Amino acid sequence: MAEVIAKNIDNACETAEEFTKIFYKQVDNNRHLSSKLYLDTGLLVWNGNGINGSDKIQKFLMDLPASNHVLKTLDAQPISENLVSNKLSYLIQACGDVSYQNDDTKKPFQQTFVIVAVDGKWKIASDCFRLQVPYS
Amino acid sequence: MAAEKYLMENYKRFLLNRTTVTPVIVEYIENCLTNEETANQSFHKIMIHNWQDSLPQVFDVISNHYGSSFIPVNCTSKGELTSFYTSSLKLVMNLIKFDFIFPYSRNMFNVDVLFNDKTASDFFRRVTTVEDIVSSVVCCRFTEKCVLDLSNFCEDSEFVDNKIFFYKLSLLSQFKILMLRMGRDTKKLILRNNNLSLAPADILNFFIKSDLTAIDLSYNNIPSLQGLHRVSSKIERLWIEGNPLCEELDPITYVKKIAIRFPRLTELDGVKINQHGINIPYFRNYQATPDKRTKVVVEHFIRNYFSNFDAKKGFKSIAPFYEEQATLTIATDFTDAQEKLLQHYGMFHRNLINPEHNNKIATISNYGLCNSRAHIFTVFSRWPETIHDLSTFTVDVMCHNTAVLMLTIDGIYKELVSPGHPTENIFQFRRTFLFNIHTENQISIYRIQHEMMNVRFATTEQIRNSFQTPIVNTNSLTPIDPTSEEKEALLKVFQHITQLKKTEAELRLTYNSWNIYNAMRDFSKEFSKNITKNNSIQVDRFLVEEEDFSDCSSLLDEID
Repeated sequence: MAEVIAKNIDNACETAEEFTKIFYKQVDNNRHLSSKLYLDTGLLVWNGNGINGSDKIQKFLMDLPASNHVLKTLDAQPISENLVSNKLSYLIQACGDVSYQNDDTKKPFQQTFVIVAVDGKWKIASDCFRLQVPYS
Repeated sequence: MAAEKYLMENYKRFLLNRTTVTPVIVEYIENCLTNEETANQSFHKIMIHNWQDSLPQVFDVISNHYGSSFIPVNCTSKGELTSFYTSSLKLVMNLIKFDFIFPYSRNMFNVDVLFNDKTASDFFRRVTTVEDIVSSVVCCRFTEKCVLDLSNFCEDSEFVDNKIFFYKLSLLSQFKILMLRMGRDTKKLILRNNNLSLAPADILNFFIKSDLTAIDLSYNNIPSLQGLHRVSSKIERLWIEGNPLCEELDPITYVKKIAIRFPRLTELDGVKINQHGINIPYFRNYQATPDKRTKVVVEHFIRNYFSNFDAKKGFKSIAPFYEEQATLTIATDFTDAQEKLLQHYGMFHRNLINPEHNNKIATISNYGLCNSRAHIFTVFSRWPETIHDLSTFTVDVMCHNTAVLMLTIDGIYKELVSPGHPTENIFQFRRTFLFNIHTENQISIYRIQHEMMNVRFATTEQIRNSFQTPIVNTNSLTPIDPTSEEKEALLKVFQHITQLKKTEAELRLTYNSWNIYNAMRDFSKEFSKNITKNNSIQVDRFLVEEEDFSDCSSLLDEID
């Protein structure tokens, strides 16, 4: 049993690495393809703004200035089945620094994904992004 | 009476201007003025030539110049002629006195009056007056719960249907008796959506002596809080969003700026604010599922979890938040050098991509994973004392249904100096919680199944902006600013235990800032003295059965 759990965690970690590599590459370089990364019903909460549906998410992301994400930490956990969806799903948390085209300064960010396996592909069910800058 | 009626007929549709006015008609109008009953029934058409500006503007100018305000009916503006109807004979009288002219922006304007042109039944299809219609509209908007809802008052369908042009809210100040009565009874006044360009002092004056504790001025055009000072001392709930004064202010400055003016404010724009007049911003920062139930659950969790986390008692108190088989991972980007100083993160953190720790990836599955409540407890109990700054928190609820709640919290915390932890450090964190929800007997129980935590050193900007406001330990048993119901409940419990009289019990609770534990401690100390020595708490402070009361007091007399 313990071995199975360990295997699952290993899988989650490997998947997280591969997935985030693709994700940040797409967001930084090929943003027009980013809708494919999300479920049709995917949810993005970007600095508190909720956007529902992969098409709307892509439209939203396209409006953001060009970005460059550098990851600092990455972590993943497999989620108990039936908790979020009936499919295999992983919780991924990433943090790093991002710089935008219109602003040279690096800003810390935190991002949390729930990804689910759909027909052999990993898709984002929910994505929570926040720049770590003071609100006051 | 008959003669008056005759005269009224005589002057029916009489064109009144500088050339046609006669002493006879002036005398007639003066007579009518003393008998308002009949006077209010007939309407006079006021005609202004070559008016270029807006209608409300002409009404303001006329009422200022002639010193009598009025509520115009059936206003039209066709070509060069602007006209309206009024039943105000006082206005007609003043027009006569001032020679039918008034100045405005370097021009003189001529006024003609078509006297007695229409009657109330022409406009309203019944015998009534504008004043009666306004009064009935105001009365309809007063509810049983003592709320006077004057929102979007000028556009009330009753006015629109009857072509009454209630062009500004402050016209209500004419209705002195009505407004005084409203002022006496109103507890909550709603003035939203009235296009007010300042707080309407002339209306608010009626409410100074009332029990008004809530006022809604939202969605107007108010640039400052001036004019509110006369009622501000009593206001507990205020709505002011959607006004220019709110623009270009970040939430905290906004709350502070307003709270200074309203010493008793407990709720601003529907958001509860605490004793220090500072609201906790996380309340307004989440979007995905902003329903009330989510708000309640999330607020409760954050308050309880972090105040327990920061409490000195250690981490025993947070263990119940976790499932037996909960998993926790902590990721950090600390370098080896930093890690040496932060030993408590030691082997309990991990990072899939930290280049300096590449070797760890191979065995990551076993590394730094806590997979039981006991294990999580062990990890957190190695931490030094912390303080989380709730005012820096942002909260995103990604999912909340009957089975699961997913919550992401970002914020700033501080590790205090303590044995084994020589330096004070400030960190930024993100914690994502996945809760299991079990429902038993209609009670939902939330327990953390998964938690992912991410810790980094705070940036200088973050450090500068955190710990600006006093941190309230919400875990202490002192209720902050208790409501009367809370006080009543505490009183009941305290009385039940001590059998003290209400006044005495209240005195003791108030003395201890409504901390029932401290009050109990004091009481039991004194009470034990009572048994050994007597009379540190006098007998008459205790509850006594009604019928025994007289006996008891006579007994006390004897003792005295």
